[in-house]
Amino acid sequence: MMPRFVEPAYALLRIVSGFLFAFHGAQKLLGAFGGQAVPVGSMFWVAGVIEMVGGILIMIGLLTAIVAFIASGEMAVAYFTAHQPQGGWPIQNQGELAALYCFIFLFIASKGAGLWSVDRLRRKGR
Amino acid sequence: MAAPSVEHAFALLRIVAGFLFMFHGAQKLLGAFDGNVQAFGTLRWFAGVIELFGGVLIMIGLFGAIVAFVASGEMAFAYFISHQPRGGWPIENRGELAALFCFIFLLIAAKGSGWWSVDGLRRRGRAATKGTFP
Repeated sequence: MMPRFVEPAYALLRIVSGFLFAFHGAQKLLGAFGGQAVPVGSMFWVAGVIEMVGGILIMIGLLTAIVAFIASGEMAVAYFTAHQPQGGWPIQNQGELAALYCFIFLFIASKGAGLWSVDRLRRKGR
Repeated sequence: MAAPSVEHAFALLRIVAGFLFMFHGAQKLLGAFDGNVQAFGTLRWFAGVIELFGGVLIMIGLFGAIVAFVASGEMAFAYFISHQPRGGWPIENRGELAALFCFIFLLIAAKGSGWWSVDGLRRRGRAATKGTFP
């Protein structure tokens, strides 16, 4: 336990998880990184918007708590609509990532952006 | 952003991450959950020991900080020897999960087990552990 490193470690987790989350959106919206672009307006498209825009906002820490809350909900829906029906445990139905993102973002939603974030900079002004 | 909900959310994240991590060890050591048993004493076997026992300890929150530190290091190692050589971004080389576990466990290593943990129960006799997030 090293209390001095809690806030930096939290900021790293927020930045890394937002960064990695944005790739899923880029796959769905742009067909980048080995993904397939999905039709505009479909449910997967909406998911892609949350992932790409939300991932970037979480990474830079802008409106973090509310965005992370939405992303967490999206991951819960994704787990139960896309992975859980495949049966078995998360490691078998490939829903492990969705479950981890869901709980990381729930934590971020309750804690807020923290260090190294735009939210923190904005608050400093006031 | 009240402190209690933060501690609850952190404990949930710790429990879920430890629980899911454990399955990787069960795959490697027991061949369970569609896994393959790794030969005793190999690098992957050691990885399985860290994942199975480390996952359980992180989930129940016993020696959470030190175990999470070891698990975090293992995940960094796994990313660089097994995923990164495949090239591309984490989403392409399937190292995304390893990267997420690495940073979750790094946070747990810094913060300790927190609420709903054996460490918390053991400490209760000595000092209050409430509200360690500022």
